[in-house]
Amino acid sequence: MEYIISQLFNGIILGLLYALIALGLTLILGVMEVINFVHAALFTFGAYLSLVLTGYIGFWPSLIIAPFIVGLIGILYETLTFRRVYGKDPLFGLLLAFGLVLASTEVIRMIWGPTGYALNPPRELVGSINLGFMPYSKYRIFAGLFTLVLIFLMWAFLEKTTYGMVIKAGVSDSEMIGALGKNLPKVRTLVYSIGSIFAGIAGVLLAPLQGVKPDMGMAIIMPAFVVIVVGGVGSFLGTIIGSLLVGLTVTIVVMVAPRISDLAMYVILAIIILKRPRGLMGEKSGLEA
Amino acid sequence: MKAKAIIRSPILYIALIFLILPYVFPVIGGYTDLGTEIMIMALFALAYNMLLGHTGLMSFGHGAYFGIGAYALGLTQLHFSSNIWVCLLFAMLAAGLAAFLIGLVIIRKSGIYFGLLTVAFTQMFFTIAFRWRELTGGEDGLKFQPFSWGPLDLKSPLTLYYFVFALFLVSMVLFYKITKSPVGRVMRANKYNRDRTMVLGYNIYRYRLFAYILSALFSGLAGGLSGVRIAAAFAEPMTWVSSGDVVMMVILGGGLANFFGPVLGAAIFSILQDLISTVTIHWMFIFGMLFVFVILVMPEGILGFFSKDQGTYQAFRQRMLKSLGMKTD
Repeated sequence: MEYIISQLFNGIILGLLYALIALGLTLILGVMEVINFVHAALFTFGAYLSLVLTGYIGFWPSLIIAPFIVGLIGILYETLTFRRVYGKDPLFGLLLAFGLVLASTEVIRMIWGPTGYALNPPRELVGSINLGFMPYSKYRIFAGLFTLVLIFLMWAFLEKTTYGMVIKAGVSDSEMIGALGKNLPKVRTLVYSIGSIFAGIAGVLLAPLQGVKPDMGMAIIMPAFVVIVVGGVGSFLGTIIGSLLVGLTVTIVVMVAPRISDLAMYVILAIIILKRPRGLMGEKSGLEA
Repeated sequence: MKAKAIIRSPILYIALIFLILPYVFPVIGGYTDLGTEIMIMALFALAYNMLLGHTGLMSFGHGAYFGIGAYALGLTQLHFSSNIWVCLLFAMLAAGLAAFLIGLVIIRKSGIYFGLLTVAFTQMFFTIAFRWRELTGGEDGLKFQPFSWGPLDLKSPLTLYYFVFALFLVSMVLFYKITKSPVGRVMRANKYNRDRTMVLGYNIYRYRLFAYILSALFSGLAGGLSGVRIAAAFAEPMTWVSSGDVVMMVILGGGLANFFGPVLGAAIFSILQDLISTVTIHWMFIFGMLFVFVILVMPEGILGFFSKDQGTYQAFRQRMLKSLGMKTD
């Protein structure tokens, strides 16, 4: 019983971390019309940077600094490359992202080698805490709560600020907010950097849980894609629900039939797409044109 | 076709080039097997371009159908019949069936959303192939026997080369005919204006599904031929990362602007892959940067770059002529 409950907890926390990645992806997809494969590399950059930085300045400062650097890398990508393909066939943005993720992942492999590293959680979070009915990993609880706070901040930003409104409008029709006089390139850079930072944070948080290796991003981006389709592209709440659904599915199926655990989410995807073609909470948007 | 049209057609020249390639290629440092691979990839790219270039649907998951073709070929040989035609037929049918099922779910989507779904579903097929060890051999791949057809031993590189050559040529002519046919025109109409085509009374989704299945059938054939070539099937071509290769071939060669672009793209891509992977283990970096370069500098691809009416080169040439005060054409 305790095992099952702790697996469910693991599923929820995994789902929240998927949400960090998927929220950035879905915003970028909405505002920039790019399937941002680069997220895989940004996530991996975050993990490796925290690996390096933790050695010098410890975990806590690197939790701030590593995502910040990843955000800068993201802005670099956006201004140097993606900006040139806006308004063209969305195929080009997709291929650009694809090329960038291949090259970036290979750069990571050149710098840090093809083998993985293990990374310990900070000293304060080693071990487990007694929840009353069972012990549970301190670090996982921290990761889950931290992610929840970030998701709340993101929600508050999108719902309560003017900039957030512009971004939300952009997700539904990006050309239109340009026509309404908003600085569309600036909005896109902002969204891209937010997405990058979130991907970086997810990388830092997942590094002690799953270890650091060059293709870790390639592995995590697939669940994130499934999440945004399941939740409905551009929908904040849908993405969160989708993340929890996928995270829980993966961890529950691992208990029952470990070999098909990574297949289960595609089954969910197929069922949901058949029942609700735009995902759980998706709305009609400019992406379908 | 009239005799004149045949002489003018690039198909004739492509056929001639590939016909003599095994005798010319070794002189310039290539080898027969690489030629075979180029034709298989060119077939794959042409089939893919029936969807991307001619119907305007952006699939990012065609590696799945290539992989399914290879597995179906091997499984047919191991469990049913070792006749190569039966095996190749099953390779095509398996890929076509998979595309039919997936197509039913996604064919009403367009643009980037369609692409996103193809990414997800290719990864689903990859996961099945990778995990179902009893059937597919999992990580080790599926090994099977080399093929022969009557007295023809397809283990011999040269025999295999001409075998693939024949199928490649037939498929290319078929694709060409389809693009010129009424069906092909409706497919192209979908690319340029879906709504108007629908208003004209065409059931656009039926044409899309046709294009999707057609391209999957022949992707399966290409996958099957690759299985014949290496007598094995692997899951690796089915990942979304590998699925990008065929998109790159089409774009690089200029498949969006020219029917024959994918052939050129596949040739360049395969040769580059062969060259670069012998020089450095970091060839993925070079490939990634090649993507970025092509998209940023010449998104219309090589044949598009030099095309008569819309190429970048042409625009550049016109500008130069004008600035020199010469007559533009």
